Amino acid sequence: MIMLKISELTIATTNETLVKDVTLSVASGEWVALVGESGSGKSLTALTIGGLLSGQVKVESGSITFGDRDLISMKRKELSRLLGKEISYVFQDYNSAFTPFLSVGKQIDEVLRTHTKWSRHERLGIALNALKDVKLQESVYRSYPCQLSGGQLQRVAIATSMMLSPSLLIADEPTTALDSITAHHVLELLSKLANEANCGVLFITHDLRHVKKYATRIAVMKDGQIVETGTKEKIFTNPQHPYTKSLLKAIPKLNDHRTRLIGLEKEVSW
Amino acid sequence: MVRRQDANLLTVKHVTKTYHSDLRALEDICFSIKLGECVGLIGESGSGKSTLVRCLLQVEQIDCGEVLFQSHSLHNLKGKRLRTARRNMQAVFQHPDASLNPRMKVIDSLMEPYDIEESITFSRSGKMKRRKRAIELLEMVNLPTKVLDSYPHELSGGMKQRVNIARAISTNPALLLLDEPTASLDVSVQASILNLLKDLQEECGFSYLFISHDLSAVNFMSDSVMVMKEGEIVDAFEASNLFGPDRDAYTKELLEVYEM
Amino acid sequence: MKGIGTGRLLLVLTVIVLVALLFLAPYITPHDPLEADPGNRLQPMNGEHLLGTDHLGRDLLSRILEGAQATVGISTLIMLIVLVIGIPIGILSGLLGGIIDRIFMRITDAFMAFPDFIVAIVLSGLLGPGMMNLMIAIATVKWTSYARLVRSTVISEKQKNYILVAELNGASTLRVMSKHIWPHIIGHVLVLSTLDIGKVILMIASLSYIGLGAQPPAPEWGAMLNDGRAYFHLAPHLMVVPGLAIVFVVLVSNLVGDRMRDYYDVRSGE
Repeated sequence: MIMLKISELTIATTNETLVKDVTLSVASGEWVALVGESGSGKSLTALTIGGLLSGQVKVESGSITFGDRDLISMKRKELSRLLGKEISYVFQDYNSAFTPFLSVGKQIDEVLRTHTKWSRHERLGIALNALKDVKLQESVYRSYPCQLSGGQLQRVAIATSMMLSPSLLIADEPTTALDSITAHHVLELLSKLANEANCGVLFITHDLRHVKKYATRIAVMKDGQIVETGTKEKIFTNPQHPYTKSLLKAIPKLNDHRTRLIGLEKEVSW
Repeated sequence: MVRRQDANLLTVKHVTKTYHSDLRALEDICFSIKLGECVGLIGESGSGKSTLVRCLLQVEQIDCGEVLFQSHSLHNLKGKRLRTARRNMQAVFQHPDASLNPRMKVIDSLMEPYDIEESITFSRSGKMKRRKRAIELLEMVNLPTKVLDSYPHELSGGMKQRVNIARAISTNPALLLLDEPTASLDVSVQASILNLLKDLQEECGFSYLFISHDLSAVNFMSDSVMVMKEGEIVDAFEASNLFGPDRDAYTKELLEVYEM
Repeated sequence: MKGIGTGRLLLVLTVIVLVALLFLAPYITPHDPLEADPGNRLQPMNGEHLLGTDHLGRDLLSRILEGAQATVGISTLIMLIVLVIGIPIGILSGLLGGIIDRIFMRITDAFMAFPDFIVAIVLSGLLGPGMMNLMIAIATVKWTSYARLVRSTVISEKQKNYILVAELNGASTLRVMSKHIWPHIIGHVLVLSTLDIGKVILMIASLSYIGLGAQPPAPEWGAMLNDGRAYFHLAPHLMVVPGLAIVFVVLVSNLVGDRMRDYYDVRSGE
């Protein structure tokens, strides 16, 4: 079943088009990766889904439907009921995702209180369970953000966004700020939880390596447009668009460390 | 540039560093870097990689052990000798932003080591010479001349890191400490920076200590690789031996992450 | 864009005119601001006395012009004293750290624990009325926030890698200070002090209003407000004119401060 459907989405400021005609869908249980460099418009697309665009940036045309509801025309109040419960986000910057002077547990509880009418006791049970799901000890509940490492915080963020079993998880570069081993563990957890909840994942990254194992489909984005979409196998083994090819070639290979990489030299020739 | 082959440029012997009495940051670290060689160091965040860099740069003092650089013991150096040693050992850090003064033009950041050495001249010819040198440096890192008069915020992350690299090589150092130079860049930009570093090494014969959490980047850059975990070096091998059977369990776990 | 340009031009012109008036005041006053003329008291605005006369028959326009020197001139002077004390202490504190830092910061804590207005009143009360004592009182309460600001700027910049790189390349402390830290300090300090000068003007005016600052017959805007109070029903211009003068100058200084903030933010921005 298609959970999220973005059709011909165009996002612009008054004098610049940032995202153009993006069409993308995520079915329940599916893991869709949106891959592109910084400034390609991938994060902007992700923010638009939750109505999180700010300031000058506006949706110019196109539609975003979640189930059978139109998200763009939806009222703020209705949308905020949806966010955190049925659509949840995990961001790259785990530090700013938490208020530094509240314990992690308080912040998880806050989310539960907003979206449910459960008793204090029930909420505590759910929260501790969610922490257990991401392999964190119960003591984390009482910790403050500064006492946890980056990997632990990102796991708390994942626990928080998955505990109400959303039908769509939007993960915006959740592993970019982590080192590769920690990132690997975080990804594993994310995929396990998403599988259990049969939740659709929209995974945004600049690094194809992060999605190699889990993605079902991949969309490659460049300068605000999707240049290629396909199943993971097709993108990795038989990429069509030259940009996809160069993205793949930019990754250093483990068994061959003498040949030069293919860098995208765009940034140099301005 | 002719440099004597097969001599150890940097030798680190039994270096230990402890913070606040019980927190072991570095534990009995031993390794050496030969002239023109690139040694890779891989480890998770918090494994002590950056502490090692700060100790090598003499920003922090080691508790025991010895660091020999160009056959001088580093922690006995004082004053002018220490300054010379430092200019021969430059560093490039992870965040290109934090390494450039946001209020200084690129040319002024780039030429800072030069300005310190040359004592600033106000003469026209002196300024011309300085600008010419800056342009040479930019060419070495493939940046257009027009960035000279830009401010850092007008540059992309990759370009800023190129400026940092240019500044580091401006004193013609023997050793470059590269502390996660590509970690905060896009993969596509990482590739260009890695290529650049490799080209520079071949052209100018620099030695590198390349530090990263990215096994594939370390493997691409290095002749030999060390694996660090909780302040200790748990594995060290020639890059060609990455898939060898005698790898440490931790190295194998790292490999698994990348094999996928 | 054009609107912004004319706005800035207007502001610059206003500031130039204000400064000119400040310096030229003694030469352009139509009457002697101190010369009483009991036969002509409480005159409304007329051709001879453009803004009318006060309760002693003194020309109000002349007193406003002359009073500007006391109010605006003295507050600028106070600001300079504050900067001369606050900046070096902030720099020393931030750069050296340790025991010196702790001593200075405890002193500033002690000052900041009380509302600065109250401390200023107490101090000038203890020192006795008079312009000199007023300056000492206000400078004493104001320097602390500058020392704090400078210290925090120094500390946050000190740990950036570009400082480390400069030091590794043999830059002297003096060079690090002047090339790297000073430009950051001066921006912040200029912005804060232009915004603050309005507050100092109000402070001088209020302290003079309650009789602690300028002593009669010297003209000062706050003292003039106080003098006019008794005649508010007969001659409201006695309070309205100095009141408007204060509002105007404070407004201009705030606008200049805002502009400066915008200007200095550009280069430190993303």
